Amino acid sequence: MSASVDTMTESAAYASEVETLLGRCALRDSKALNQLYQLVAPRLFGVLLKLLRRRALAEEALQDVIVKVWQRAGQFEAYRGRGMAWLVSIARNRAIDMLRSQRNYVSIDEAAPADLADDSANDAMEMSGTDKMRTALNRCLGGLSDQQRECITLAYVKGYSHDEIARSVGSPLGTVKSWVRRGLSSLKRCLDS
Amino acid sequence: MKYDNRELIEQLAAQYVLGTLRGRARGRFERLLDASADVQTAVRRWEDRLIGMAARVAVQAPPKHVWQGIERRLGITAAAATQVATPRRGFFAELFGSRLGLGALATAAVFVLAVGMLIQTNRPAPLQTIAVIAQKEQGELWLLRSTKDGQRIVVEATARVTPDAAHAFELWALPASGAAPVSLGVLPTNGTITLALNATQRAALGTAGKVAVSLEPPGGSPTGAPTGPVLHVADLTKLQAA
Repeated sequence: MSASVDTMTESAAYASEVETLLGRCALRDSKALNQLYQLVAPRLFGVLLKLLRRRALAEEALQDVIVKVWQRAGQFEAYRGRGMAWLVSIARNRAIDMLRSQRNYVSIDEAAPADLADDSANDAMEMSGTDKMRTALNRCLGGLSDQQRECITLAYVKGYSHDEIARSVGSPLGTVKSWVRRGLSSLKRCLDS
Repeated sequence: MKYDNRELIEQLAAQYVLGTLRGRARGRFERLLDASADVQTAVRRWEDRLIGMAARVAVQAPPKHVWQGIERRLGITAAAATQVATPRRGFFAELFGSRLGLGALATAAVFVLAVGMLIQTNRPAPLQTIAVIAQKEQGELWLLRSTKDGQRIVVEATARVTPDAAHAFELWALPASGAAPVSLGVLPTNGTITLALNATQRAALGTAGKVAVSLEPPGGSPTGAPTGPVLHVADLTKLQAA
């Protein structure tokens, strides 16, 4: 299918652009930081909004993330071949830290109704040169039980803790922990095979 | 908890990346992560395994002021961010003329270094952030940046400043000697202004360790000394030699 070939090409170019710009950031090129921001901020902001749910928090987190990226751009080993995974990890870790201190004040009920479905099915821009990994992940997620998949998605996309997942799906904490644990090891087996 | 168990590290790395490792356990694991290359590898592999889930989240354009805040925090300017570092031909011709004897690798290395240097030197001298006036509950309120020569201060009010028509917010340099505060001017409640400093103000700022903001009548203190309550005190960062 030519469409998927185009997507692959665009995706590879995107990943390589992200890494080139990160390298220039290591040389303290602020123009490169601006270009990197234009390229990745909408993606990171989408991830942060889903996790933090409040725009003001997500905006603050995005600033923190880009500042951190600028400071750590010299750590080539950390992002070589995986620029977007590195950026998303910095973003998710920042958001989870904020959730750890803020969750007390933000009730889960403030969240929009669970919309965990693929909400960017038409999105041509892939994360990075990780199309194969994404396809594999979708296939492997499909191999999990419904409960395992729901728990893992709630944790990754919405930043829910075990407790919050248990309340959200209405199952006992111990059961949820076991779904998450088994789901993760099934994913690993499936992805690494 | 023992961390020497490979399987345990693997499980903790998975839960860390997924986000379900919380509380003090997350902090402990992060310390281990800083110290152990094996743990870093385990975490990276999980980040790579799960990254596809982030690709499923809809993209959202952040508002413009987010980038402006980044510029502020890093002390980079829009001008620097949009200017293209243009190599100077003469410099390059000279460089390569004198380096032709070197191997290709060495030349490439010199080239990379030279580009790095050009990017540094071709940028206009940035303003240096000398103080951030902030309040715990509200966050950053004003950013003070100085030209390298210390002649002017560019003051930017963030969106968090609440305008007060009945009062002015006046900025003071607090000399480290404990001498009387010297007014540096009235702060804006929105946007950016430039305060041109006279010799007295420059001298006061040069020796001051802190700046303060007081609440004054519109137009500023009528006496030349603070008359209203001091609302904020912020540390001053010394100007770096250009």
